[in-house]
Amino acid sequence: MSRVLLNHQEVVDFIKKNFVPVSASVEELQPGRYGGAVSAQSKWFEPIAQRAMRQFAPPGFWNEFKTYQGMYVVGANGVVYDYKVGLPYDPRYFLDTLAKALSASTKASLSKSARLNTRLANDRSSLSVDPSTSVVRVYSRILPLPASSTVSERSVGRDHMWIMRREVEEIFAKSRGSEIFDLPQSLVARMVRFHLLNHVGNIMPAFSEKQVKRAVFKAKKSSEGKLLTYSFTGDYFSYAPPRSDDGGEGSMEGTIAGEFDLDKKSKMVVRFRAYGEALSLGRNDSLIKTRKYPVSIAMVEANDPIGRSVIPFWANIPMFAPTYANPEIIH
Amino acid sequence: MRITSKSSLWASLVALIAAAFVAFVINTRKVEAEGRVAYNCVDFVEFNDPIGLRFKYPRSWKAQVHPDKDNLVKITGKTASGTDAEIVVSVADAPLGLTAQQFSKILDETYYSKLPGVKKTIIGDVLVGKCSRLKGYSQTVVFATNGYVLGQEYLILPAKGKIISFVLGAQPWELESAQAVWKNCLTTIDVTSALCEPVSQQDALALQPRTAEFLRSSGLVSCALPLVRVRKPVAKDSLSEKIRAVLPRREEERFLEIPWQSDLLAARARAQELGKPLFIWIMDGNVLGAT
Repeated sequence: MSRVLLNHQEVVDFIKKNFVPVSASVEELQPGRYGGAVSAQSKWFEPIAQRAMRQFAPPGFWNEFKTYQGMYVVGANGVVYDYKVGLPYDPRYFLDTLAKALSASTKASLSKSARLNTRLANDRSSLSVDPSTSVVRVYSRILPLPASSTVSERSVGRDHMWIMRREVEEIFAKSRGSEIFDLPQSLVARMVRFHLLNHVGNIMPAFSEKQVKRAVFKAKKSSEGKLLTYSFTGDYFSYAPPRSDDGGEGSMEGTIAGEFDLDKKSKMVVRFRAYGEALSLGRNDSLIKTRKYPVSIAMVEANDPIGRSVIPFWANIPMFAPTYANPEIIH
Repeated sequence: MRITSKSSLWASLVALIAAAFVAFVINTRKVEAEGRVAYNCVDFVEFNDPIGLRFKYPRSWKAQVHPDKDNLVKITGKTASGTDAEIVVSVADAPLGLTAQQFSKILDETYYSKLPGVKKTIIGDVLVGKCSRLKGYSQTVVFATNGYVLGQEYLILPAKGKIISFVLGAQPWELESAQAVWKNCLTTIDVTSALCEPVSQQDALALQPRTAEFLRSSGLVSCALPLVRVRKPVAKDSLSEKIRAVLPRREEERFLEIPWQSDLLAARARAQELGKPLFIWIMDGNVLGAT
């Protein structure tokens, strides 16, 4: 919902004009809950978030969820002027809310009490994209939309997917001839467990190594020059039984096909284009869990600044990060 | 209204009204043209009771007529953030002249006073209804029971010898997400003159400022809902065409026009330098990357 709200042109213009906008993941700023490392950012932010919870959060919200997710208007001195979570799609209401918070911050004269610790200001997040890692952006969309579709059902799912250098090297090694070969198992597992999911409207929980029932991904080198071009196909089925984990029962079954270019010298993915279709069931909290959704999934390379700086969802959660980097499938 | 069954005082007031339920499809295009599109639906159905009470609710929500002996109808569905909410409507016999405030006091004495941690916010008299001239009394109550925190938003509508209650129930932090459906429901209430008379023009004028505030977060959206019409690719389409069908349209990625910073402390320094506040957007997963 929040992203839909932030796609409204007046909201975009108002934020650009009046605020210094920051986008961050709760996993980075609330390490105590997600098991991450305490950073200078989280040290500064946690007391602010606690104040926001006390002053602005809906009654009972903190006790129930213990999460800092939401939208904050905060002065450089740490004073909280507003906090919202679970906003409805009402741009006018949201603009009024922002205007009130802006007015309050202006009255408070921001610059007086803000003292920056320059050492802390230079301490960046410990999370980053390794220069040797290639990034692909994964989009998902429900097509066709059901009748009376919700805003969640209409939205576009997004995430970033990493392809590790060792996986590129493995593809090089497997494709010396022109035969069809299996894509690297860790790459297949990462795709099927973490990315070939229905992320429309919300994140669909990843599948565990035992929940992938079928994953056949074949590739073939189609041309060779400075860049090596490959085509590939994939066929997969994952199933999580009821009460198997927090995500509950759900499944993804589909196929995907595409092509990608690898640079011999840098061992990086320079182009990645793929399209797939799947049927998804359950596990996504913003969708109807008993409905089978037809999901179209597209993958394109993400060599832009956002792709190079924003961590994939599951890699950003400390307890999943090692698995994400080197996932397995156990039949 | 479950709370009433626990009160002997209330029980003496209540006589339940038999109901019939008539649902019909409202023309979607007409609804959209009126700008009355709730956030999670594109069409509505109408609840119509022989007592002379009608209102609309999203087709995606489910109505249960006479869910128990106290209530006329219970409508359940999902809020904007995907969790469950309900709207329960009750019609009870009441002494002639019983005001909404008096009714609210009875509720307090017979029910809420027995619960721990009750937090009540009175919004007061507001105008609702299709004619925008039905005077109702609104209040929000948050309370804990059986280890759960619950939120209820009331609209009490005094009628001729009856009290009509609309109650939105959800977890307190979901009340806001449910406002679109809730306010849409309240602004479509239609009653016969035998049941309830609209207030005078003069009284209506006096209530308009508060009503405007009351409806501000109504979800009666001030602009068209984002609905990108996308054709599902067919087999003969090229790979590029298939991918293009899934990629976000410009209107789905306007949020990327905002110059987001990902380093909070660098942004803080920038905020100090510019004398502007920070707008911080925090979700599970950085929203510039993940859903």
